[in-house]
Parts: sequence; C-alpha cells; structure tokens
Amino acid sequence: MYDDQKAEWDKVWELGKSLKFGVTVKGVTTEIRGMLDKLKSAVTSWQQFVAAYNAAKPDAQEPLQRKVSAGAEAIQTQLGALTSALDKQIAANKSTPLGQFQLPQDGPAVTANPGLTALAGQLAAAGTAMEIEMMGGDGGGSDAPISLPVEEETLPPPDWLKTS
Amino acid sequence: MPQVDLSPNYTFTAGQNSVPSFVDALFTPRVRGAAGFETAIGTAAAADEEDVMLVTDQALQLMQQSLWTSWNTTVTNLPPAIMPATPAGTQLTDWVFIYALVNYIQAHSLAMWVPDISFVSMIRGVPAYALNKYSKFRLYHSQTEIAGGGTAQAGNVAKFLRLFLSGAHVVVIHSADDLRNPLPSFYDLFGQAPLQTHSSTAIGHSHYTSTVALRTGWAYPANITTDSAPSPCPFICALLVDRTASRFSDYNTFFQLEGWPGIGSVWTGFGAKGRHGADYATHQATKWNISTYGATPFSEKRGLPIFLAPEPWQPLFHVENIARPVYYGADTPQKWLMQQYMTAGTDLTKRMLTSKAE
Repeated sequence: MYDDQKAEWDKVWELGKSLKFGVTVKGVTTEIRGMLDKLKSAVTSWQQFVAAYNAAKPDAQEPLQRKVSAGAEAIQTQLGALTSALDKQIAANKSTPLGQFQLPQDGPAVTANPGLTALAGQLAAAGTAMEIEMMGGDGGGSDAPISLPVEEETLPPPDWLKTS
Repeated sequence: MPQVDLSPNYTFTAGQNSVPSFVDALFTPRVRGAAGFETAIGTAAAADEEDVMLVTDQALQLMQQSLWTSWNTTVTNLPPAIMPATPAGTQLTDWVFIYALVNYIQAHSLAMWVPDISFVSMIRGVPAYALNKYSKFRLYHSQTEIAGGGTAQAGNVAKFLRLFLSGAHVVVIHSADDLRNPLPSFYDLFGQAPLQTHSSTAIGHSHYTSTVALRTGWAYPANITTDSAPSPCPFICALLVDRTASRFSDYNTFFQLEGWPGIGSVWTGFGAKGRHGADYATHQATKWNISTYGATPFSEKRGLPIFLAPEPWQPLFHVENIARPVYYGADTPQKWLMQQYMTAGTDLTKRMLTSKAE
C-alpha cells in the first residue's frame, strides 16, 4: 500500500515537471506550479511520517498517528484547491479564441491541453491510493476459516413494552 | 459511580425533566469522571457484565421504549409507500434512523449475532476476554408477526437497543465477499433521503484503519456541533457510520453510538478535547467502547463486533489466529486488531484443534 501510493504520487511529480499550463486565468492569484510544489513538499513530509508509523512499535505509534492524520488533512485541502485551479485553467484554455496572441511562456493556445487533464486524473489516482493506505488495506483473506457455535435465542418481551 | 435518571414525563425540549438536561448531566465529572468510569469498567469486566450504564434502569427503559415506538411504527407500516409522520414520544432524527434501519432489516430479513464472552484477566489495566460462541437473535418480523402487531421480536429488539445504547460496534454484513447474494450498501443510505438531510461528514475516526480515517464516515445527526445538548435533543446524539474497507472494494458497513461527536477539525485535534476527547481517553485506557449512555466491551478492535446479517450467514473465524472474526474489512490480520486482549474459549479451541487435525 505504501509503495502503491508513492508510485502514484511520483507519477504526479513526473507529469508536473515540464507541463505548460496555458493562458493566464482571471481571478486565480496562485499559480498552479507553486501549488504543485507546495503539495509535493506536504506529500513528501506525510510519506516520511507514514513510513515512520509503519516501522514503529504499537506503543510509539500514537504521536506519529496524529502527524500522519494532520498531514493527510492538509494534503486533502491542497488537493481540493489544486484540482479546482486545474479545472479553471482547463476551462480558460478552452475558451481562449484560437489564434489569440500569447507569450511563449503561456504555453499552447489550444482548445484543450491534454497534459492538464492527465495531471488532474493522476491527482485523483494518487488521492485514492492515499485513501487506501489510510484505510489499512482491502481486507481480503486466503486461509480457511472455521464456524463458531451459534445458539438461536428468542427473548421474552420486556416489561416496558407498550403496544398501543 | 452515580447514575443519571430520566423522569417518565420527560420532554425533548430544554427544561426541568428534559432530555437536554439528562444528556448534559451525563457529562459532568461526578458521573463521567475518568477514574470512576475506568474503575466501574474494570469491576464490570471482572463480573462478566456486558456493559456499564451511566443511566438508571428507568432511564434506559424510557430510551428503549422511545426507540421501540419508532421500530414498531415502521414494522406495522410496511411497505413504506409514504414515510409515516414522526410518532408521538420520539424525536425526528431518532425516528428517521430507526425507520431506515428497520426498513433495511425487514427488506433483507436480518438477524443479530452477539458474542458470548467471558473475562480472562486484566492486562495492564485492560480487560481481556475469551470468546465462547455467538448467540443469534432474529430482528425482523414475519408477515404473520406483523399482522399480530409486530411485537413478537420485541425482546430481541430490546437486546439490540441496549447493546446499541451502550456503544456496541455493529457490523452490517452486505459484502459480496461475505454473502452469496450481496445486499445493497447500508452506508450508502446515509447519502440518500431521508437520512441524508440529517447526516454530515465525520471529521475522522480510528476504526478499520491503523491511523485515522478522514472524512469517510457519516456523523448522525448533523445538528450537534457543540459540547452541549441541543434543544430539542434526541437520544441518538453521536452515531458514527462508515465502511469496513475502502469504497473501491466490497466493503461492509459499521455503525456505533459514540459518546459525543468530535467537535472541531484536524487542527484542533479531531475533537481530541472536550467530550469526545475525554471518552477517547477512557476508551484507550480500557479498550471498551464508550457511548453517550454507557460502555461495552463489544468493539471490533478486540474482534468482538455485533453482526447484523441475513440468516444464511454464519460468523466465521480464522484458525491460525485464536479469535479473529472473518468479514470483509477484517479478514487479514490488521494493525488495529488488538489480539492480546482476546482469546478462544474452550469450545472454540476444541474446534480449532479439530480443524487443524483434519
């Protein structure tokens, strides 16, 4: 599980490395690159806490548990903001008239930027892998279980029963 | 440890002999002081009692009676073409939850399985138990029983309500991994009418995770947002509902009545302070579940959940571990399972030895 979520996050960082984002979006004060860098820092820190938690003895897990939880909450918040910014960016790119003059650093003036869509999808995949890590596995078992003795009982109605 | 009483002529709105004052009284240091609570749990465990109640027998019965009214109203109004109005003597959110639960129980013919346990010893202040067997109690009413007033299973329902009010961890078995004919998700009902209106997202909790499950669960009812009872105040003040595994798997649903909702956010420690925080500390010290009205050893963390499942289902245990129940979400050895506090009783041990020899 740890390796799964790490692999998903690594894909996010790889996708974000050389991505061009497109036109300047009105009303968005934080640029996506900065948000991504901040997210990477938070995720890296969270992964260190998770690794420490997984290696810790039960008695030492509680303080780490709080750090893991706080880190995950911060990442969720950042993920929400980043996803929202990406949605706005994708929408802005789409609504930009073809042929409009843009500076080279603004990236491709196209109606769709597949890199952005891929990044949004990969962020969702990383969030999912993180959730599975936090939920402690899928719980599938392989060995043969045994049944327990079961006695069926029917208790008498309680004294307080009112049927009206 | 003093118990809090409720007068038979109680009201749900604030005032003398009211549910709000009854509930708030349960959180005073005199009643819920950690030292006294933990001592009472230790004493009850050693005496093989299944709960510690912070309320008097009369108060418990009045609560059971109110919830039973909702139960019986639902059973006798099936099929629910139109949801009946809130019955007299009940509160809206209590009624809506029981209505949804009983409709699910009736639709899928659910019974309840309760572990039969016996106290073994205290391990560093935490009671350890042996599991002997399970007892099965039918909760649904047949058509003939409904025609007769829908009270035939009232004794079993009263047992369920006491377990529920004391904070027992209840697993609703509906997974395709556990049933040949899987049932619809009980968890999903909280995202639909009529439960959705009264449900909110739980900040976080410690069930079925080695850390904290964040914002995956439902907190019910949604309108309790401070560390004091609202007016009017229901009896079900802090219901937690969530999945036993990721939403991307064949999960089951669990629910349990907690002491009080966690108030705040992760930045204030998931409700690690206040009423919820104090109860969590008592839970950590004893590994008993703490509800608004009492405490119980029936926690999934020691492998002792209550199960609600259709009758063909049978509780199963893995043989290589001495007391580990099998259901999706807890099949493999989980970090959160506290196996040091559970063991197998004589009958179960014999079965395990027989199974291994075969």
